[in-house]
Amino acid sequence: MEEELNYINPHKLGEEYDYDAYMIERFVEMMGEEETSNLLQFNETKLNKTIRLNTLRSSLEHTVELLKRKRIQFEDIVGIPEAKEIISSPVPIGATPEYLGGYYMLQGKNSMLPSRILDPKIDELIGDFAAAPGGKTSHLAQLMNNEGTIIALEISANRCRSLKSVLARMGVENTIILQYDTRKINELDLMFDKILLDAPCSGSGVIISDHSRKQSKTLFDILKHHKYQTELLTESMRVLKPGGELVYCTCSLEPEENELVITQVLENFDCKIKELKIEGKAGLDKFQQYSFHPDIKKAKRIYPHTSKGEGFFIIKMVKEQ
Amino acid sequence: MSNKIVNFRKATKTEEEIVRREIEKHFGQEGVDSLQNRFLWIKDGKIKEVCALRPNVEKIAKTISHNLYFAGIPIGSIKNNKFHLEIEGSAVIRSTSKKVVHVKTDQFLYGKSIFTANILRFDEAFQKGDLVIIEGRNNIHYGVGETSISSEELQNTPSNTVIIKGSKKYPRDRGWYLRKGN
Repeated sequence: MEEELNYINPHKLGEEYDYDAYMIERFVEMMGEEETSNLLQFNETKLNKTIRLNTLRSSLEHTVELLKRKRIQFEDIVGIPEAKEIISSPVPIGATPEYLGGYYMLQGKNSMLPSRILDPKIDELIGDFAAAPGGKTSHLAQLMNNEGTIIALEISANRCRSLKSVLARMGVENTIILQYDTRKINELDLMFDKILLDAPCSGSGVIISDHSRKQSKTLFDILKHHKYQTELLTESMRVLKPGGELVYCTCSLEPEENELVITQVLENFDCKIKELKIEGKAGLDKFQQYSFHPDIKKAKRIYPHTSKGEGFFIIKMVKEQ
Repeated sequence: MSNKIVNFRKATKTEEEIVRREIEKHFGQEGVDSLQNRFLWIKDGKIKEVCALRPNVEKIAKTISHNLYFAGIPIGSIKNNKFHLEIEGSAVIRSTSKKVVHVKTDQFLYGKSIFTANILRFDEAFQKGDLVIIEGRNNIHYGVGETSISSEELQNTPSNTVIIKGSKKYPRDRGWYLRKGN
């Protein structure tokens, strides 16, 4: 993981690693040749597993002690006390009694950021729209100490089933699961204090764990995601209370799924973008033919090769009173 | 999206009574007390799934008239007018009950039975046919099982005798999350 990444022409690398050529061109335009070269090389490595300790089941100290007794070696992750990076384990980390007991769950370290950034409080009504598989939902419940209420929306029945199972295993009691299309959330007559929208996306930030993504999506797919994400964010904004906060994130690096969605939605809603105090590059101000909202630089682009984790785009917005 | 209507509703008085009676039978009033400040709701289907909702969650669940898939924590199911306690129900009851059998083996997590030789200790006496909470090393909750003999008989029982039956039919051990959870 710590090995040096040498500059190699990204177009050559793209060919060698079987990427669709259009992806390399876009990466170069987003981050330059050297960063693209680093990204492509990093995507050929393997991420260490990371886990989130679940304080709904046991204190951090107790679970740390249980992991040590199993001779599992891990390191802290800066800024997220409940997150640990697994260095080595003599047992399968996803099948221990502690895992089954909900003492921890496997979760990418960067995917723990959105729940922390939303900062849910114990007396709030939280919306988690597109909730399955439930990593972020159960993290929200943990941060709320099982108080308050989370409305978790998931459109697919199968994914609702696995969401329910994850929440039960993690001891989550403050969540209502609706099998529901977020685009119709307005019909529920609920207004939310805070909303987490981890929008379904093309997944170009997680190629390291899904190499098929190098060739599986076209520009047309990205634009289809853009349309759906814009609809989801627009409807989410409608049900956010004035003064309420919304975190939008994707595991895509594509500007059409991130900066462009935000820019278009903010044309219809009076919102402020909040500065995020996390590591990452600023949101792009332009890409190809698009120019983005001037405050979009307050969003964070978290690149896999610089964060040593999954790629993410994260932005936090406050709806004006 | 599926248009199948999932009926998720507050439990009737009769259903509440079925649940409370079964918990009281095995865990006494202490067990019933664990459900204090929680409301029972039912998800209708081939079997009725029973879940426990905290008051603030119930208050909002009541306002949602459709597409409610689940809420709160699943504690068991009702079939043929009998309540079957499941994994998370036993975890809730553990907060007030000491009817716990500690085991040395992880076999229960594979839906398998527990033998005399696998039992480390028990915190409270039990009778044949009782439900008991199962915990493994470091007091980690494994689930709930039904005893085949009483705790009094335990000392004079051969080491290969089944003491607590595993269940493949109901989600009673935490290994179920790996076997069927997804």
